[in-house]
Amino acid sequence: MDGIELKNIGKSYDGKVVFENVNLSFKSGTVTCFAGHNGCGKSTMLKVIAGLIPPTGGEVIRDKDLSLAYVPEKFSAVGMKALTYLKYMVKMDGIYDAAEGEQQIRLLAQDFFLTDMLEKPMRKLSKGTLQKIGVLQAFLRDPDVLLLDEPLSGQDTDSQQVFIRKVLEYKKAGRIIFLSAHEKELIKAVSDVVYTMEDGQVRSLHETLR
Amino acid sequence: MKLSGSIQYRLHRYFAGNKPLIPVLFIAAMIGFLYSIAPMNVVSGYTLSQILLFCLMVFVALHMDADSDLTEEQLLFLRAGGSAGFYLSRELTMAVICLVYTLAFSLGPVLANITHHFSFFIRPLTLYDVVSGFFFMLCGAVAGGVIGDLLNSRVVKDRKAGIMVTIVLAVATIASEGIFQEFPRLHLLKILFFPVMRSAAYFHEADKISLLPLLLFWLQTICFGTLLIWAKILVMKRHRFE
Repeated sequence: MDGIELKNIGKSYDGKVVFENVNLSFKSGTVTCFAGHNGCGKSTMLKVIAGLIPPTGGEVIRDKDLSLAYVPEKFSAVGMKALTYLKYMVKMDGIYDAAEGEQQIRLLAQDFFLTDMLEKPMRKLSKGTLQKIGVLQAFLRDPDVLLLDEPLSGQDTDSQQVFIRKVLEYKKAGRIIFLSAHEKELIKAVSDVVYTMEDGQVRSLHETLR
Repeated sequence: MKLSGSIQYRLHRYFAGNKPLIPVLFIAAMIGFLYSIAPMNVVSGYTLSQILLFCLMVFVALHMDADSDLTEEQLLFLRAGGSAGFYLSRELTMAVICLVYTLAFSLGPVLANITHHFSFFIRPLTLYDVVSGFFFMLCGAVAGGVIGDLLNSRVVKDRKAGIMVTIVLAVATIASEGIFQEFPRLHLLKILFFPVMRSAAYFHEADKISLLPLLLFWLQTICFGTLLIWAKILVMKRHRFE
């Protein structure tokens, strides 16, 4: 079984410890949630796992060369239409046929009630719609590992339900999923393991409740 | 496909916005200014254009960095499936932009010659002049792109400092030849600068851009450029997206 292991991972910024001595392992087909108040280090943890920022100590061990997709907490608008952006992303993911790529985008966009928004410039989209584009670009990738950093911020209830369904589909397909979230319903609906982050310590929710 | 897709995306991001506006206006104004008085030595226009292209590409690289978004870059990094593809696409995009602006600059002497009934220069402009002039100017453009992106926001977090040092480096590159002529003992330090002004000084009075010196200047640009890009990528890889 492919997986990811965190071995004595620690992260500090300007002498302030965000977390330290984290030893965790994650198997395929599981959804791991990191919960906690704003600024506790959830996003930092996801970025360390993704290899986007270096840990201060320890190492992230991956069983093989896993493909990763990431939904950032704040997805930035770029100077092009949403459809154009997603077409480029699909192309970078190795879908050579432009028509096939566009079809995949339109199908997923339909699920997220985004069909009418695809032709609009990204800079004119609302925060919630933009966040959905961020989710779409990750889901289109069909990766081994999904890292979702507060993916539902600003999204409507129907889209949240679609999102939950999709995450469960990915989980069933054996993907390793990481989630950073505040929404208790979302955490309850998809998570297998929940870790809380506080004062530099990462504890499982079970341990916290004890 | 990943690499070409990434380069196409980056080029779209650059050329579809209003970022090329200032460079295009600059090139148009400079071509108009440089090729306004006839007759002119064939090589003179190219030597000045090379220096202008160097400055332009420093500006372009700084402008691109100011417009870059860390989150967007993170997503591209993950899609590239490794740092090699990501950094290669970044550098190749800059190389394509260098090519485009050099091509635009190289239209200057051709247009001037056509509008003056092929008698703008003191001798007939040949295909060799246009081709060698293009590669000569490209040398300056590449140097400008490398210098401009050397201290990008992922290398130097303090943007004011990064921009200031970049400008100092660019000015030092332009002023270096004069300094070395004034202080010959320092000539060994020439190796620390791109040969932008050295090649301009070498060819300025020449009748044509000779192949061998041009190749040597190119070799020096490629070697020094590769070294600087390698050092820059090492720092970027160490910092990642922090």
